[in-house]
This record gives sequence, structure tokens and C-alpha cells, in this order.
Amino acid sequence: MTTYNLAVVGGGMGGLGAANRAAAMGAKVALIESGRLGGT
Amino acid sequence: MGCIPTKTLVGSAKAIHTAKRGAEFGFGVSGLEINWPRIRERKDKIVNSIVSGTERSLQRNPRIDLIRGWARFTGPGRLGVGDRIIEAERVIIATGVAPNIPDIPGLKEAGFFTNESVMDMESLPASMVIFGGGPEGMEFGQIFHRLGVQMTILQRRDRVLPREDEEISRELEVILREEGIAILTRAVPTRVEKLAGGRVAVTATVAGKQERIEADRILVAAGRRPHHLAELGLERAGIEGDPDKGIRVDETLRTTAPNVWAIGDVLGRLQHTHFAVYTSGIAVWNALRGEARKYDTSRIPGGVFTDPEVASVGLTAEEAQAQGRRVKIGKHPMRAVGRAQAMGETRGFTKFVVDADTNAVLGMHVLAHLGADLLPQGILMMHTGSIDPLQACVCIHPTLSEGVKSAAVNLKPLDAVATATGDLPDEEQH
Ligand SMILES: Cc1cc2nc3c(=O)[nH]c(=O)nc-3n(C[C@H](O)[C@H](O)[C@H](O)COP(=O)(O)OP(=O)(O)OC[C@H]3O[C@@H](n4cnc5c(N)ncnc54)[C@H](O)[C@@H]3O)c2cc1C
Repeated sequence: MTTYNLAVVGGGMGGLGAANRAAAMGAKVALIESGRLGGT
Repeated sequence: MGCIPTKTLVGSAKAIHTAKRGAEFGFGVSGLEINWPRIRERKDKIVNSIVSGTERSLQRNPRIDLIRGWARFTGPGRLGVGDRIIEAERVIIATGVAPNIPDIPGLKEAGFFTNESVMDMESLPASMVIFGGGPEGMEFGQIFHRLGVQMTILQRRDRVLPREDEEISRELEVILREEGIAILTRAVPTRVEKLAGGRVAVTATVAGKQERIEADRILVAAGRRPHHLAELGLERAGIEGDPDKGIRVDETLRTTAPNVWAIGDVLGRLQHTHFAVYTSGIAVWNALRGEARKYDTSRIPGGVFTDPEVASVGLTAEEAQAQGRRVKIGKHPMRAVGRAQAMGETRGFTKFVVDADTNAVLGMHVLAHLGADLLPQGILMMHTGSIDPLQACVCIHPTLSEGVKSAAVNLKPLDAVATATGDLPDEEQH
């Protein structure tokens, strides 16, 4: 099982920003979203 | 993404409104027909293209795994999604908020729309009552009014947009009422009944008196809160949070658990996309680089996309005075701005709140066409620490920005402004 450097819970506007920035900084990221990407 | 769908509807509503103002601009339109399914399609097309663009860019990113499903903490650094377990050294919580549904007898039985379902309704009702006179209530109120729905807004407080500068709230109420929207303040719905034919009757206390309002449908726009926190299993990871107030964080956005940060709406502070994105940057730096960057809400702006738009940042004059500051106010009406006249967009004004001792911009409050796009002039001055650069700069003529500059140049002690309301300053540009 992979251990991620960062898990982001929620793929809304904040979560997407966090996941992209973390990936750009070299982290391995799990982005978890239950609905549509982009949030409410 | 509540922002973009509503703003596509704002776009359609504005186009319809402009078409109806043809006589002012020198044209006539006959047979204006509002086609709700096409308006909805336009919204969906724009939203889908943004969502699929986001999906494609995530798929192309080898460092991000997108995992679909509801996540809950099963322990520190462990999340369950369906029957999968995800382990992570660090976690950022960005779960947002859900609509707040007030506990009003009969409401559930009668049925209601929320901000999401209202944008996808099959057909437009003839009339609608909105519970809530905050940003969402005001935007939806004007959108659906312009699409031909008879709108009534019930606002608990004594004015709409109660967090904004009071003069802006009052002026916006006047503008929207003139447009034909019924706005009832100090209005508290107490009971809802379902009538024959699917209609509803709302009983409300309005300024102490009982009133009954009938309509086809109800839209609940009574704010949004992090209700879903109970289903996140926070306690299993030692994270403190309250389903009303949000997740508890320190000034570096760290929760009560080590290695867990929270951002955006779920903090229960400000509900804006730009705030969610701003806090995401800080949390990632702190999480991955071990820094202790702090977040600061004092210069985070907010916009309400009514027409004219409401946009503000920082303190109101009253808030600044309550902090013991001496304030100067700079105010300029849009009707004295040449470009605004040319565009037929003369409602509203720009107001600066400036520290009389230091010339620092403490706040900026705008009610204007494209007001949210005018605000950055003031936000930048808050970052420079003084209004001087804005007073010295030269704006293109004719632009709406000239109105902002005029407000910045016309600073007066607060009491002088209060007694001089309604004065039309000389027009400075021709
Ligand atoms: C009608 C409307 C209009 C708006 N207009 C504007 C505007 O014009 N400008 C503006 O700045 N803001 C606007 N907002 C507010 C803006 O949408 C939010 O502030 C912003 O989306 C917050 O981002 P966020 O990442 O904190 O939360 P969200 O974008 O809400 O994202 C949270 C995500 O987390 C997911 N999620 C929640 N729990 C879990 C879980 N346990 N597991 C997996 N996924 C989960 C949700 O499905 C959601 O996708 C508007 C909001 C609404 C409702």
C-alpha cells in the first residue's frame, strides 16, 4: 500500500488548489472527492 | 463550484435586463422570450468544460491520485474510503459546507430548493419565496426576478447583506425594490403549508406582525455550515471541530491533531473561493515544508454579484471607529463618472475608509457595475500601507476606475461626510 505524503479530503476549490500545489512541490498526493470536482 | 454556475445565470439575467432597457439605448426588442432550458444548458456547458478540464489536468499529473468516495478518518493519518484505506503522512481537510436548513414546521413536507437544486429545476415557477437576504439570497432573488419569476425575499435581520457597509445594504434594497423584487426585512418564517396544486403558504412574523405569503416554490438560502463534520470521524484522529462553527485551527491552519491542517469554508470563517485557494497555499507550505506561515483575513475581499455588484474589503467606518481610530471617508457616486453614464450604469458609489493619522486604507466598499473588478485598486493600497499611490496615479479616461480614484482623492472627516450625503461632487472629467 502506498503511503502518500499528503492526503487532501475534498476536491473543491480549496482541495484542488492544495493538491496541485503539493504535487508541484514534489509530494505524492491522494485527492479524495465524493462528488463532482470543483465543490459546492 | 457554486460561483461559476450562479455567475452564468447572472450573465443571462443581465443580458435579458439590458434587452428590456432598449428604449434607453435607442433600440426596440419585440417578442423577448426567456428560454430556461437553454439558459440551464449554457450554464452546464460552461461548468462541464471547467470540470472536465480539471479532471484532465489531474489525470495527467502523475503525482496526484484522484480517489472517488466519501472519506472518513479511521485513525491518525488513516482514512477510509469505501473499503479502501489511505495512509498519509499529512492530511489537509477541505470538505466545505452544506446548506443550513432552518427548522421551520411544515418546511420539509412542503418541499424546497437549495442553492444547488434551484439551478437545475425543470421549469421556472411563476413565483418564489427566498428564505435569507445574504449574498446567495440577493443573487438568486435578482437572477430569477429577471427571468420573470415573481420574487419575495424574507430577511431575518433589519437589512439585507448585514455584514456589508450599511449604506450599501440600504441602497441595494432600494435598487432591487425599484426593479420589482419584494424584500421583507425583520421577517422570520414560522410555518409553511402545502397548498393544492403544489403551491406553498409561508406564515412569517414581519416586523412584529404576522403575514402570510403564497408562492409556487421556496428557495432556502439561509447560509451554509459544516454540518457534515459528524460523518468525518474527526475524533478518531484527535481533530476538534464543531458542526456549527467548523474545524478548529491555529493561526497556521493546523488542527488540534499534529500533521492535519484545514482550509477554506470548513474553517467557518469566510466562504469565498479565493479564501479557500489562499488558505490552500499556506497550508501546503506549512504541511510540506514545516513552515509556520500564518493566515490573515484582514485583507480578504468579498463580492456579491447582484447588479450593481457589492464588493468590500477591510473595515467599515463604524468598525474602524469602534477600534478607536480617527477615520476619513472618501466617497464618490457612480452617477458622477462619465463612463458609467455612457454605459447606463450609474447606480451606487465607492467608499474608502482611511486612517486619518496614517493615511492607511482600512477598508473599501463598493456598490457599482463591475464593482468586484474595481476593488483591487483598494486592496493593493491596503498592501502598500497608504492611499497615497492611488491618489497620485493616473487612470485612463473614461473608465469606471476614475470613480475609485475620485473617492480616494476626496477624503473628508467622517462627520462631514455623514452630513453631506446626497451632494454630487463636481465632475472632474469630460
Ligand atoms: C450559490 C453559491 C454561489 C457562490 N458564489 C461565490 C462567488 O461568486 N465567489 C466566491 O468566492 N465564492 C462563492 N461561493 C462560495 C464558494 O463556492 C466556496 O467558498 C468555495 O467553494 C469553498 O471551497 P472549499 O474547497 O472550502 O469547499 P468546496 O468547494 O465546497 O469543496 C468541498 C468538497 O469536498 C467534498 N467533500 C466533503 N466531504 C467529503 C468527504 N468526507 N469525502 C470526500 N469528499 C468530501 C465535497 O463534495 C466538495 O466537493 C458561492 C457558493 C454558493 C453555494
